Amino acid sequence: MKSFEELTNDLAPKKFGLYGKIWVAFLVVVILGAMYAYYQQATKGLVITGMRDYALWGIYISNFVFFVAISLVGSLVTAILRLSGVKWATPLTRISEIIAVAAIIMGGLTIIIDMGRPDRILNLFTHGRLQSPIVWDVIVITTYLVISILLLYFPLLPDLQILRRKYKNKKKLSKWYGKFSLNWNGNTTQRKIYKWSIQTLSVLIVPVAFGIHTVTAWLFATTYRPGWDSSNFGPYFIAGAFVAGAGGVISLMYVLRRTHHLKDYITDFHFDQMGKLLVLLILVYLYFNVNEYLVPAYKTTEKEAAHLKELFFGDEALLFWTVIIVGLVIPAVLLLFKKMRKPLPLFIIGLIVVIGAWWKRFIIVTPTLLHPFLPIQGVPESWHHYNPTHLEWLITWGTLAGAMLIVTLLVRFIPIIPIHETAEENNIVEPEKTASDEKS
Amino acid sequence: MKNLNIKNHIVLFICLSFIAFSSTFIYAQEKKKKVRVSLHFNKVENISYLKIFGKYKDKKKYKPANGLALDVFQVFENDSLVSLGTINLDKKGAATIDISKVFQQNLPQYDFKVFHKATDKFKKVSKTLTIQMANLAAKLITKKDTYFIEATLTNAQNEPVKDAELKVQLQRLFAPLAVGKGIYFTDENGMIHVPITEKMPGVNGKLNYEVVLDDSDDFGTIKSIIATNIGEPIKDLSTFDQRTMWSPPSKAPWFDIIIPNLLILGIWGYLVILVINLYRISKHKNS
Repeated sequence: MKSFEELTNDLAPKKFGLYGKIWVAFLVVVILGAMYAYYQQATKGLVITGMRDYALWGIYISNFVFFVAISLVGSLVTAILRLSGVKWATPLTRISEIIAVAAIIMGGLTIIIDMGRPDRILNLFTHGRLQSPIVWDVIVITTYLVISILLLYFPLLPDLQILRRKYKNKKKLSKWYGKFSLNWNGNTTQRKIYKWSIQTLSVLIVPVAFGIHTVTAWLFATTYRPGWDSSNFGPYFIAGAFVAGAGGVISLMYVLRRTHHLKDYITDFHFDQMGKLLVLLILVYLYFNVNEYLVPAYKTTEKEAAHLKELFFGDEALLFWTVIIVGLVIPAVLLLFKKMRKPLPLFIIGLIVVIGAWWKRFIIVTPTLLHPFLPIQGVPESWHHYNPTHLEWLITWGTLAGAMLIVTLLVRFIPIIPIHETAEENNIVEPEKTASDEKS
Repeated sequence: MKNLNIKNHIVLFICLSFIAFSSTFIYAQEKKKKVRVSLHFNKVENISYLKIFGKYKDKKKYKPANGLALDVFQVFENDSLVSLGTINLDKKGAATIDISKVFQQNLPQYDFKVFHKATDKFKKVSKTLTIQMANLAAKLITKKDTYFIEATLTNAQNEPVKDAELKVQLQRLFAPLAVGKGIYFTDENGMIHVPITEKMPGVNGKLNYEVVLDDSDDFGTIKSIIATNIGEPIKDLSTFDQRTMWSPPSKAPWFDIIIPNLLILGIWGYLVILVINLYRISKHKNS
């Protein structure tokens, strides 16, 4: 068994090495490129994108749905597994909370990016209609962002205090950790408030998380458009979100295990468990996919048929079948084998699932818009197709880089694995604090 | 040799100048347009008016003679003219002039003339129209629980006009709707009887039927309107003052106001408590 000091040394945040600095620099360069592209968009308008009267939602909205989806992992691992009493998930809670916060911040930002006139965003609040799912989405995203930040912050309080003591020789760092730990010393009253707060947040985040993705699904499902007009859309989106989120956690936990040497904490067992969980989530999601595509295909109404034909055999067929088979079916089959639930194979599978999840959102959002219901005539042939422009891609990559930068910076300054909880679960007792510690 | 070259240059300069000036002159003297004018007599109830249309051909297409000024006269037997006024054709090349007072003269026939003096744009043009006075009287009658439209067409001598083609139609917002087969011919009494078999909807049950003698060579266009109350009253389906999901924000349904706001208040209430808890934790360091 490790001592508390060893535990703290293992789990305390580490400075960036050479690769870490290169990674941050790379992300900053991508973000700067995206900011340049957004400057072009802000000055010239959405005409710089591939979006036109037909495809009025493109990769920005696909990206937004992806961010919302992946943010749901915070509720899955932190709340659902915590409330279910699943102890093995403790090392993964912080990772999933970090992903959730990063994703929801960038999700909100992506919506503003998609706006042709972001300067009019206040109108949404002053003239918004409570009957509109867009207003519900704004409310629920803001709520989820606050809950996610609180759920990341509350469990951090003891860890920040531990870090304050650990870095007592580095006064500046110790001071900041002290400030953010809010004078935590683990007394009875503080513990009582702390436990109640985390328990409340764990309960609160579940309906809000379901709400955020259901409302996002309703943005589509409350229309009559083929491919969107479905009462199945809420649960279908949630099932897909858990798949994307689990894939994201698996990918990040593998990277962090390698970079932060956390083999003793994020073990093969964790990968095995997450692999099993991912199989279950993919199977549930595939079930919803069958419902989503098979029922309209059976009915074959005129408009649905045109849309499905485009997906199954038309221009979008290659992407559609790649997403379904490579992004969902093959991972589910492979993960049935124990060897594939080892860290490296699972990491690769997790990564494929995440990339597949991004393109799945594209398949949901865009192709149906290319079949307008209104008889729009005399438009250029190019408007019948949607191809994102380079600037559009650059902005999208910028948001993804932004999310990864938030994750990277959080990982740099806060413990990836909860020190306090790990110590408690392993009955590792924190040494008595010295009088000087208390004074400081 | 040199002198010859200079001479050639001077001749060439004069020729080019002539061509240039003559083309400018031709351009300035733009060809006057020949206008085609048509006259139509219309009578709706007791109001009579002339409808005048003018158009000219330009690049093989007819265009409205916008702005064409026309003097309108009544012509009497001794070819004397009495001015009825001057009108200008509008953008559509059309104009209307009220001539109801003319028909107080009780003449067997009426002659009208419109005239345009030549201007920079249009050539001189004139057109005449001769019409006889006629009366079209229409009313709604009931026979054995069936409504009928009865119309009688008589000439200026109050004699029935036989075999005249009358249209019977129901006034609608965009275009009239034919009643029955739509076109009926007057009998030896100058009458038609048209049964109304279909119950049509109307605002408060109001339906306006019209009987039209359309563009007759002798009588022009005469229209008689019958205002009735025999329609199926239209129910007001407007939700203007109701609270619906498609109303403006101030008229959102109560459930859409109460439930989301309760949820928001409930959740944000807890969030406020949780933020206060952070403050409480920082204040309880010595407990």
